[in-house]
Amino acid sequence: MSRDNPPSEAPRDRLYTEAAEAFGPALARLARAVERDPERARDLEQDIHLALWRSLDGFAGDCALATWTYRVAHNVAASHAARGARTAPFVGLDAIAEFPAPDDPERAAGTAQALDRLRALIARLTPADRSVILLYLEGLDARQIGEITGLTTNYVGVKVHRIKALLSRRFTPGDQP
Amino acid sequence: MTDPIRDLWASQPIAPLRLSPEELGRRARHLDRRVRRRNALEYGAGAIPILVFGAMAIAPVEPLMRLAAVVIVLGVLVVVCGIHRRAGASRAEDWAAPILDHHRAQLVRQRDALGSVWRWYLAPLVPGLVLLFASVWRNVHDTAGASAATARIIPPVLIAAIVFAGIHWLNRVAARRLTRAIAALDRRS
Repeated sequence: MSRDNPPSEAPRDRLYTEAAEAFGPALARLARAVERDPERARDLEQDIHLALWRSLDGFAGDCALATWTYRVAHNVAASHAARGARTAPFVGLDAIAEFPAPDDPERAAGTAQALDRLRALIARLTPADRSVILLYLEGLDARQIGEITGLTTNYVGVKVHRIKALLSRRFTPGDQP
Repeated sequence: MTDPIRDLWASQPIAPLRLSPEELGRRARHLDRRVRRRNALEYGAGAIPILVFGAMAIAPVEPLMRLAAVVIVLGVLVVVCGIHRRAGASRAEDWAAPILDHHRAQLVRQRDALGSVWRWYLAPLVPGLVLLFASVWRNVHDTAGASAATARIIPPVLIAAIVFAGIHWLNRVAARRLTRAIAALDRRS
């Protein structure tokens, strides 16, 4: 019998439905942040869902479903990003401060443009920094981010502090409508 | 207190994917079929030298040439097994591991595969090639003498040595780069 049709299919399906319901929007945002091409972002989102569904066979409740879901999603996304990282190497959060501002400040005034800039910034980050910033943007605290990434809470705290400073510098409230 | 950047992030116009478990099962089987086809193609590439040297092994050639063909076939089989083993390790990834652990495990696996290319990809082919060159040298020697045989054998030996050394060197450079990336990861966690 195929691994994808085990007799005890129901628990995996129930967990997947629960996870997709709760975190589907976050998974879609993650895919859009990592892959800028909309069609490929949709493919990546599908890969994430598939990996999540398959992985849930091994879910024993040792961590929260949210932690499990974010780990699988970010690991799949990081692998996807690594495959496309040949031409533009990743940089650390500290180097992002050097990025140029948009040529036309007025064009940056809309939500869509602000989101584009934010996604462009995120796409350049190293996998660890990218995950921290994305999980922060999803509203998670330092302890949760530490559990998902494997970084210490203190380290995440420092990173989140830098992220807040960076984002407040780069994305002022005036950037939004 | 609300965070305007988090609000901006959450306000993205997105339509999350909705997939039923049945649909996921169907896509998973489709993906598995694609992986099996890709693997078959990769192993098929290994079948070409096996067929060529396998035919040589049963052809009416001199014994040393026949032995070289058999050893080359065995070497190719060892290489194909190595590729298969490494592809299996890649499929067994723990996707639910903490992100840094997963990333580190990927880097270590890639580093180890590249760093050991000499052992599992190049070395198994060396004995067969050495026997093949020896067989060619002896054939020429029997008809034209030692000098002619040596002159005949030096260019292919040099080419093989340069190709093998080049593959080894490029993979070692990539492995060293990955070692540095792993060390950087360890420093930050």
